[in-house]
Amino acid sequence: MATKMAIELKTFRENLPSLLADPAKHGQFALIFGETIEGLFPTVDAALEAGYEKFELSPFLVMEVAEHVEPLYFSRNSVCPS
Amino acid sequence: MPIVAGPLTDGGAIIDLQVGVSRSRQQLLIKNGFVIPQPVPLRVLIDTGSSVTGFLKDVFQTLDIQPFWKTAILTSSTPSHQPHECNLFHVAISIFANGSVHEFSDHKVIETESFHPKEGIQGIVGRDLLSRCNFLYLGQERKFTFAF
Repeated sequence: MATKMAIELKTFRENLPSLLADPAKHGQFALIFGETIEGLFPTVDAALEAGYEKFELSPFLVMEVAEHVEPLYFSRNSVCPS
Repeated sequence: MPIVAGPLTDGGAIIDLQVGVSRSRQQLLIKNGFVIPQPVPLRVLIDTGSSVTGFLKDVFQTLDIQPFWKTAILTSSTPSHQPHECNLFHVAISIFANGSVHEFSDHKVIETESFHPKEGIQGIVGRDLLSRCNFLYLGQERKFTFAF
């Protein structure tokens, strides 16, 4: 699982600078599968829906196109992905 | 409106719920001829200090689901200037109230490390879920009401 997610995360990180170069893409949510950015969507839910429709039960990743992501807060320790 | 009411314990306002795969995944499992995993029963703390809901990581392994999103998070042990990444999972949360089960069919939650055994909980309900509910904390009366 970690390896699978790692590929998508690497893909996103490699593509983030070019995505950020276009202001229209800021705040959009990227749907990533393997080494491909499959599309940009206005909301997480829209990206999720597209991911389920296209990849069904295969894992995919959704990431926000942003230089800085506002962090969530949790009162205990979360799991830090390897 | 379904209501869960209970006593405030030393650990706070604690409720029981079940966590299952999201409605979207349920439909895909059926479509592909797979069995939908049984929802996992959990005891959780209602915590207005958390912006997000989280459950023990074992829950997601039991449901055989993968994270779909990575985002930044601050916890009790992360420096405020240095959030770390956490995984988010898409799940359905069910709560038994007023004689029937009520479902939040599509909710995004994080995975957490273990809780202290004395707490007797396996998760935290944060403000993300609370924003879809009403929560009344009656400290002097030592009871709470959770309506959704």
